[in-house]
Amino acid sequence: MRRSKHTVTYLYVLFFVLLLNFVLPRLLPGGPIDFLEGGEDGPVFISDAQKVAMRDYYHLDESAWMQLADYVKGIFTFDFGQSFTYKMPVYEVIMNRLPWTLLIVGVATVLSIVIGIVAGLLSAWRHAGDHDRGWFLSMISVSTIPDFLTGMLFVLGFSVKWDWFPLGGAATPFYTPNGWWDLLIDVSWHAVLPVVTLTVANTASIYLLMRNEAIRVLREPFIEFALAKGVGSGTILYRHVLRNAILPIITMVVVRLGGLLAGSVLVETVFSYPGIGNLLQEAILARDYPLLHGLFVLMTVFVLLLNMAADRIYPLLDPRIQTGKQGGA
Amino acid sequence: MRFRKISYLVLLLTAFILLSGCSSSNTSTPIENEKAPQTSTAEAQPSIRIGWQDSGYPSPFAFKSSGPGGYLRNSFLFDTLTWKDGTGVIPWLANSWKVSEDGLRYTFTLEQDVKWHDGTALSADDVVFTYEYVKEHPFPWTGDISQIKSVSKTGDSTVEFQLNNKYAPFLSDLVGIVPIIPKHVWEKVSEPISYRDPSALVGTGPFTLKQYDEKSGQYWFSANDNYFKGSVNVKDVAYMDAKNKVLSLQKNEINAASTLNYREAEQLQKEGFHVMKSEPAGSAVRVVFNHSHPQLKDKRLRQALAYALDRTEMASKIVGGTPIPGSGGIIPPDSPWYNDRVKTYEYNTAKAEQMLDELGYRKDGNGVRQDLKLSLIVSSTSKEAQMMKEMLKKVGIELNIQQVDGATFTSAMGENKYDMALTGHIGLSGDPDFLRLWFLGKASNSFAARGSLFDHQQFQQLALEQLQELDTAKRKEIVGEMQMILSEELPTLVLYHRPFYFLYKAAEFDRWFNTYGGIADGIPLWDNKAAFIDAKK
Repeated sequence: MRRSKHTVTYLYVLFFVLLLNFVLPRLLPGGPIDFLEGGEDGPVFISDAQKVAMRDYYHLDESAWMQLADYVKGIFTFDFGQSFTYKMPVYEVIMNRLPWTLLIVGVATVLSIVIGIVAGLLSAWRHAGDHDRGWFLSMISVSTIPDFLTGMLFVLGFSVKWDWFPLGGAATPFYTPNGWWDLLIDVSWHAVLPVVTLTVANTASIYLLMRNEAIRVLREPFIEFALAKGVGSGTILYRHVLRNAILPIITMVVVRLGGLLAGSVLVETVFSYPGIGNLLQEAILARDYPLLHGLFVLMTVFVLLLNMAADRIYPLLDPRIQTGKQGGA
Repeated sequence: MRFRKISYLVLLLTAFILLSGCSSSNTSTPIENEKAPQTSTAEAQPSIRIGWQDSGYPSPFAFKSSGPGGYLRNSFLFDTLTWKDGTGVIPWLANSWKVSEDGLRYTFTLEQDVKWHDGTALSADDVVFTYEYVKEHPFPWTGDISQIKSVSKTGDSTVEFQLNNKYAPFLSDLVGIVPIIPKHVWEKVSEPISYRDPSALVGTGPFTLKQYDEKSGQYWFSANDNYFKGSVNVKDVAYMDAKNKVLSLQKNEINAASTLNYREAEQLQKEGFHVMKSEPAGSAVRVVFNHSHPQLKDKRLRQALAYALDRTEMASKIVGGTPIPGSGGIIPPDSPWYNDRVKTYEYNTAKAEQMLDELGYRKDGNGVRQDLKLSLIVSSTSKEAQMMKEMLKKVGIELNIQQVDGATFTSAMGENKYDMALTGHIGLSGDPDFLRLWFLGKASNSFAARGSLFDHQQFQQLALEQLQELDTAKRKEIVGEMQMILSEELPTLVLYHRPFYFLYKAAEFDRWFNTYGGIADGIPLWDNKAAFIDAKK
């Protein structure tokens, strides 16, 4: 009963977001044809025949309802049509880039969670000491630097000044690797700076939350009791503090992950990394409706799935949540 | 226990993410399966690597038309009947042609022994087919097909074009632009834009495409060993999207690139790069006036604005090098079509103020002309707009700058919802017929103040006259008169002409040249395939 009610809520949300996805791009002033004919250095003129052909080809001459019908059909068949700018199926365009975003966002998320949690716990353990203050101040200062700035500094330092890392891109251009090992090295080498930048940008908030939660838990009587029992510091931190403080952290990570898929746009731009964020920006500027639909649907589904996952994880982490709900229902 | 389960889950997820990242990194599509064993990376790199953003899949119907990159990439694979080099129009797929007395019939004789990349021989049928096919499926670049009445095969290797009217730019701007496509491939294709079979790239051109990766804008062209026109003097040419061209050049990621920035060119010249300037400049930044604006429709106000703007200063501050202030007649001073008698509107604030006073826009106590408030839309952050604002303030005009994105800009112009618009583009050194296209409402392009005619009887007449004048000297006279009218009426004010600079290493390749009037319809760049060909004697 409860589960189906939940699912229905998700379906409602999905429905409204998908509808918004259709309407919002069309509220932007100008349309795809305006973009196609308006680029700087564009052809001196586009004939009316060319324009009519374009409208016809992209179904822009159809009524909004017909376009909506196509869009809805596309959602179910996973076929969003042809991208205006890339002139190939939207699905392919997105799939060419999605793995790259998942790579840097995924690795950066894992890293920032691990670093944030460990640093937060240790910091809380040493609360009101010099170590704690040092960590705290440095994290606060790092979190105030916007990620594109960190990224640019990294590029200037590590790529331009010292030739350690590439200027950008996801792989060495025109390079045919000898086997998967070569490929792995090449890809990792290109991913280092974007991953580090994203990690730096995301660690601080996790650290701060972890630290504050841990400090709160450390004041609880059961910690005092555990200490009195002579339980080791590692066990206390892992078994008692972390497990009691993890819920808000999970919430935060889930919310962040949803945003990261699109939010890595600045980092992707700085490192000219071929990811989803970059693509979204291009699609908006070009009023590439089909590509926008595809991207928005992808993001919507991604965020909803994450939320659903969080809903399932909470009761596992804290059984009180589940019982509480059942009691209320 | 439960907690442990979760940690496994997280671990699994992480592993998956990592794996998905790795396994998918091989998404670039090798178009030809050339399995050359690579010994070292340096050898495997293409010899010429040019920086330019992604221009789309280079088939004749799928390349991106925003910017000249797509057309140029396509021209490496496909050939046209005529082409241009440093001297002007030269024979290409057609080795000669005859024009009838009345100028309405052109007969082309095709080169012998031209082979498509798949080995089939080129025939007159392919030419006829091409022009029929592009009537139904428009070619995404220029080339006014509507001028052609019919195309027919008159022999095994002769093709006859019948025109509707006399059309002066026929050789350069029509048969010099539309690429000939193979009939045996395209006759089966009904959706050319989405057609991605390898045969979509079968042309007659000096190169074949070895690799294209759309997400990093990488093109890898390799030489066609059986090129009809002569031997291709490089092994391969490549393009890649370099976000910062200067850095990429310095790091040898690319070894040739073009820029509009003189300071960049100057800096790299000091570091050992060769610099070539586009001649003629071919590119301009200009202000478009909305002629239905109640105040701007008076040409005296437009002239006063021209006097109030120090365009030489603007050009030298923004571009550097030798400034070329905008010609009143639009065609740049270094073009062979330029008329040197046009009005130039030297910077003269006193004159501007006097004209504004005469028009009745009086200054108030603060030196501001309250009745004259104008806005300027721009599609990107623009130093020109900032400088205009400062300069106009000196004569008491308040300029309001509105920055919008590209599509908004274009639609605002299309709907006439603007006072003035600032735009920059290329193509001003090509055939002067663009003046007709701009001002007679033929061009749908926003830059041409689309749909709105330049309401001037004499200009319109001259514009149609020059189109049909096949004698170059006479045509030049007519175009000269058109420029006189434009400089007097100022439907648009060119702020300055800006040259492109090409940066390259002469030790690696030194055959680059400036194409007469620009490649095809006036592209002032250097990616002319003729540079890579040692012509047969």
